[in-house]
Amino acid sequence: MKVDTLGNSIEEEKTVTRRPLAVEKDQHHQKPHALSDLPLELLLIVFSHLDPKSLQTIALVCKNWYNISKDNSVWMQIFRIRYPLVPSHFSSIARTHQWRDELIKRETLLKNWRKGKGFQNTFTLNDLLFVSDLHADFQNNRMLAFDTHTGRLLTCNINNGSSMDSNISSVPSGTTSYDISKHFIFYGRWDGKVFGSLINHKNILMSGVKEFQDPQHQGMITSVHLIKTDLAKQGKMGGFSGDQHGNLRGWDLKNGEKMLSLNISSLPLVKIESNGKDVIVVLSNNGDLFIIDNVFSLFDSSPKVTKLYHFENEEEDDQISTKMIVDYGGQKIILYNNHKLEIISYASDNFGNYCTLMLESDESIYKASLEQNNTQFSVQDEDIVGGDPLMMGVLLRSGKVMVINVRENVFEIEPITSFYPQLINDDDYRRVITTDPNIDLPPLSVIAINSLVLLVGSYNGKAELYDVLTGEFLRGLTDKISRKTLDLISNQFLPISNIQTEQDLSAGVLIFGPVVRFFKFGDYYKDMDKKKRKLFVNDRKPSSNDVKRSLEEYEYDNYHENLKYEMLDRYNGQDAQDSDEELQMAMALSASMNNSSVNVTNSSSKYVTSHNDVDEDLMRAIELSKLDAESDADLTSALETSHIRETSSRTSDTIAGKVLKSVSSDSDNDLDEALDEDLKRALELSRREFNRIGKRPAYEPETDENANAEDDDNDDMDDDLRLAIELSKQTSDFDWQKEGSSTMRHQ
Amino acid sequence: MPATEKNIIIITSDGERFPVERKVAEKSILIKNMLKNLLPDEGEEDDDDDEDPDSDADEPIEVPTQNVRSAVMKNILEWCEHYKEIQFPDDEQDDESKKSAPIDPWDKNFLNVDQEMLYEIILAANYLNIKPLLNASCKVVAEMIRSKSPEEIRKTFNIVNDFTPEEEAAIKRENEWAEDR
Repeated sequence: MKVDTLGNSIEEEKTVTRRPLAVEKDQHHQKPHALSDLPLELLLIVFSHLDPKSLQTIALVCKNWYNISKDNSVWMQIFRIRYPLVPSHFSSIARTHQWRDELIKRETLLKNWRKGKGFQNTFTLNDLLFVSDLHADFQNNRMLAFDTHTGRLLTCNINNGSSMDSNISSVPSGTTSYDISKHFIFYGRWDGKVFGSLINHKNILMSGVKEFQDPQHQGMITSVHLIKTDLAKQGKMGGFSGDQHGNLRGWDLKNGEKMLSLNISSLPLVKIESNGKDVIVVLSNNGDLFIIDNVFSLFDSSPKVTKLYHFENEEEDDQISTKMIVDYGGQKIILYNNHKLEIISYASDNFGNYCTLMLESDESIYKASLEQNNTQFSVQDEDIVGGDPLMMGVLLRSGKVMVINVRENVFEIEPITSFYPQLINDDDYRRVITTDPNIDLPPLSVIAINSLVLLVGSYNGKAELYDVLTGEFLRGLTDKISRKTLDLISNQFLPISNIQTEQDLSAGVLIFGPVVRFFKFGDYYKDMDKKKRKLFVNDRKPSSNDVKRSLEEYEYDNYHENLKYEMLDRYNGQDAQDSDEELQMAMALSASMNNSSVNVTNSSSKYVTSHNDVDEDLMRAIELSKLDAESDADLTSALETSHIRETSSRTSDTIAGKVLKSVSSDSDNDLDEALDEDLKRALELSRREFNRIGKRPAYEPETDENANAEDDDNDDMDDDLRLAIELSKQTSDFDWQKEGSSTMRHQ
Repeated sequence: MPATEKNIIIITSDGERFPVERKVAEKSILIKNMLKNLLPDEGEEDDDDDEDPDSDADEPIEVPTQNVRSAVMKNILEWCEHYKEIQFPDDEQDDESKKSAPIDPWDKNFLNVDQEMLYEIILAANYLNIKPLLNASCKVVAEMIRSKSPEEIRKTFNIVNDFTPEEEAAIKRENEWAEDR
């Protein structure tokens, strides 16, 4: 009984031969009671103290126990006894109707997240100066990272960042809005043109950025959106673009054809969201929220536009700083800015009803993030244990954290839990803000949640894990940062910009500046596998047991090793079976590159010969970009997104002229003074960055060859450049909070 | 000392009388509530011993417990005596942390009795509403199940395997399926 977890047979024998004490039992009872005769309610308390594995085992003991183990309500009681603090509504981890499955899975995963042996690796990505977008694929051990500065797109191993494939997507000059999914990059430009580029599944094989041929928008593209779940098949809409005159277009991404054209409003469309199944949600610049349905049906596609709601923005005239998240499964739209968060239902029986998250007067919302498990897209099923809510983590500027259920039908949202993470008192943070009173940094920079855990991150890779339902502290996440990495970020104080998790694997990645940290606690699937074997092996004799187990273990490891190599081969395109297919793909793509993206091919051939002219060109480029800066300031503030800055600083003077004209003629936005100042600072820095570039022809105007050129010149990139870019990045990163402009996608 | 006056008499199902201190008896929420009803004044001023002798010292209160026989009650009271100075939180919310906590060594030793006795202690702790004891004893039983094969569990609890081999195989398959999810 001393060793309870291993519980070998010698120990168990002892428990059977307990010291006899009940002397007079024969007088009162004919037959001694065994513990298995306990009434059900007490048996339940006993079972509630068991671990998941033992809970599985009891089903095999006898019919009575088997029946107990089958009874859903019994398991619900066990669950409730075991988790008295879990509220009545909680996100099911197993997404099951069976409390038993939920309990077993929760127990196992929570143990991993809480106590699982941690593995952490901090690394920087080849060629990436900043990770603007990240798609982590934990199941396949890969991730896709995109840097809007350079247009570089990287597929790499998620554990260590070793590159699997790296490519350049030449960001079209004058891009005003972009979106990226696992399969596609989508750009919208100041002149109404829309561009797209396919990202291949296995390795990134860019087909080159292709201009969509159909009639262009008549004005600047103010927002684009890609359906994130899957790449839509040919003949289906996969992407959307909205312009400054309130027109919405839907595109077939496979062939670049327009499939939908609608006028929604007379004002710019600032946010578009869709699941590609039944609805498109559009927010216009005055806060009008529209629902468009009847668009995806094959037979009866007569789009119906309905105004759902008006989102008042008391602070500003426009909705540029408003963020929109859609819960398609619960038919709810979450709109929030710094001052308020509202949830609007578009379910037919609740259409237009809304609820509000009340805040203290001195509090403001900093960030909000939905559960990272795609329940967002699946229809709410109230029979799932816990009632299938959808949780959202809200991070306030003060560092306070709240978890709310966005599927709740109430008028005023009550947080399920709210607390101040310990991390807000971090020494480094306190030191930085006290040394420079001008720095106005929130204590926490990012929040991420899944069904089990809530993660908050602050600066230079510091993060903490909490129980998402109770707010209980689970563990901290820190790791040494190598000398090299510190040099690269030049000892700056970089906020964590993105955290992604995979709850089943108890793994995640977090990103600050160019640095990526991968972490993993235990290994769920491996554990499950071992457990399964143990369960079956247990009944055999112990001697053969050990041999067989180690043999199985060996086979298991071998199998996984093989699998790993097989996968590696496949990703590297060396798999014999796939090589033909790979070749075909490559040829097809290169053909399409020749045909469609004139810009790219022309410029890249030109680049080969024009290497010597580079210095001259660069000088001109710098001159032009200086000129540009002024026009950019107008353009960017007139628009919303910060990535405009990054891309539009590359525009030539002619384009910039046009932009300026179009902006001044088309939109008469007032310039916010403070905002302007921030921009100027950002531009100043980016100008410095150009000056430091030296020989690098990366920002040569008029052509898109910058991207290609960069590919070759990358080795020459010196630390100064990295620093400069990092600085400018940081500025553009921070000023959005001040000016309140949206970089949601960016983050 | 007068403070340890044994003025509560617990009478077991087989008629044995156990004089105990009130403090000890009140480890049982059932008895505590019963006493509160019988002596409404006393409940308020538990610690003030001035009143005690006057009103009730001469007539000890008898508390019958029909469901508990003396051998079991002896054990239960031993446990209550040991913990008489410890305040257990009434709040169920605090339960979760204790759930995963290992059994207290004293409890473990105390509950090292044969199954029959353990069975009766659990029933009695449930009836008398002594949560910490109930939990500790259930934990001891859970400990006996943990990390054992079904066959070992049957042996431990003297359970007859009423499955046919086919049924057993089917359940194993079922478990396998559940684990994969």
